[in-house]
Amino acid sequence: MSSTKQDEMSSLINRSGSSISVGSSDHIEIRISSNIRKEEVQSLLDTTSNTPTIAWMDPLREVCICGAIFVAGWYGPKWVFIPYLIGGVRQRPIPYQILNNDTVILDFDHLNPLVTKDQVLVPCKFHVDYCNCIDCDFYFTNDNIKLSRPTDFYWNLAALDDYDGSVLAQTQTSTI
Amino acid sequence: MIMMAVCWLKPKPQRYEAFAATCALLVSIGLSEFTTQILKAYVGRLRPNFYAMCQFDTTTLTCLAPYHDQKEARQSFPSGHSSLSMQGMMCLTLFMLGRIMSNYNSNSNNSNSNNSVNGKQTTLAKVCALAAVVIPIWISFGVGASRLVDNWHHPSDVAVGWAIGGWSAFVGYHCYFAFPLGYSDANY
Repeated sequence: MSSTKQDEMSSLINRSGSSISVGSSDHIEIRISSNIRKEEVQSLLDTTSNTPTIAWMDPLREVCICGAIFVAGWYGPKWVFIPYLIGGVRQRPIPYQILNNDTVILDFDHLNPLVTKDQVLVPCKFHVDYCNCIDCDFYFTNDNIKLSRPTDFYWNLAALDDYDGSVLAQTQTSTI
Repeated sequence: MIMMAVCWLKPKPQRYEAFAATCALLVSIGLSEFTTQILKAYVGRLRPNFYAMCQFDTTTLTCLAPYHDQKEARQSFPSGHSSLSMQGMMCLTLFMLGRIMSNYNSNSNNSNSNNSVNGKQTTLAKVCALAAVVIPIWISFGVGASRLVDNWHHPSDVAVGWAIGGWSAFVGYHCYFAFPLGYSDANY
């Protein structure tokens, strides 16, 4: 078989069938997916066993393409795209918040950006003299203190600098 | 490379199919990992266990963990484990479905004379197809759920990871194989 004929046949071994569609220059292309001929091909094994000898360069080319895609996908972002095009991992601010008495509250939901103590927001459940944020139902706000929403945070209102009972009473009606 | 070598040791019909499956797997892994890693770096979402991973010190207000751990703590979205597991399991599902449906269609074309045998084979094919679809995807769901339980990812991270893995598996598989459910068109 001449090299031209062999290249032509191997180029017709395309990828459209269940595994490999088979064809040559002198008969129709057989596709397993939709245009299968019952009298010609009875199963996948029949189809592939009728496959002519595949040229060496075709699978070698496929291996090279697949390997290149694999290497580019696996190592490309780490070596090229992230350091040189994206500029590294995005550095979001750590979402902690500082109250007036310099207490640090960690926002475990990561929903709020780093804010100053005049803008801190915390939803919590009110009790007699403390605010329990384990099961938060209400916002507690006043001019200076807005607590954030830690899920296991237990806050004693007596420690707040700006505790105001009237503000507390007003905000009890607001729900999340 | 090992898979490629094994492919060439097989008989010719299986060799071609295994070769195509290996190529599809490599392409889909590359697509999945590329998309996931780029998104991880671009989004930079903090993990649910961020404070523990970066060993945040409330007195100095800084992270005390090594740089690698700090960087890892900022790569929550999307979940790499979820995307890679869904990609592999979806490839396996599609490949098994393709084999089952091709055999099912060829058997249904051949055995019109023996209805009882054909009925048993049809039932068996349906059961196998159901198992081939359900079991690998369950495994992938288990991987994603474990990431949620261990506080390594938010639910949205896992969901998007599954989507990326499924998409890359479909693309990689379809580069070398026809869509398995398209075999029903062969019964003309």
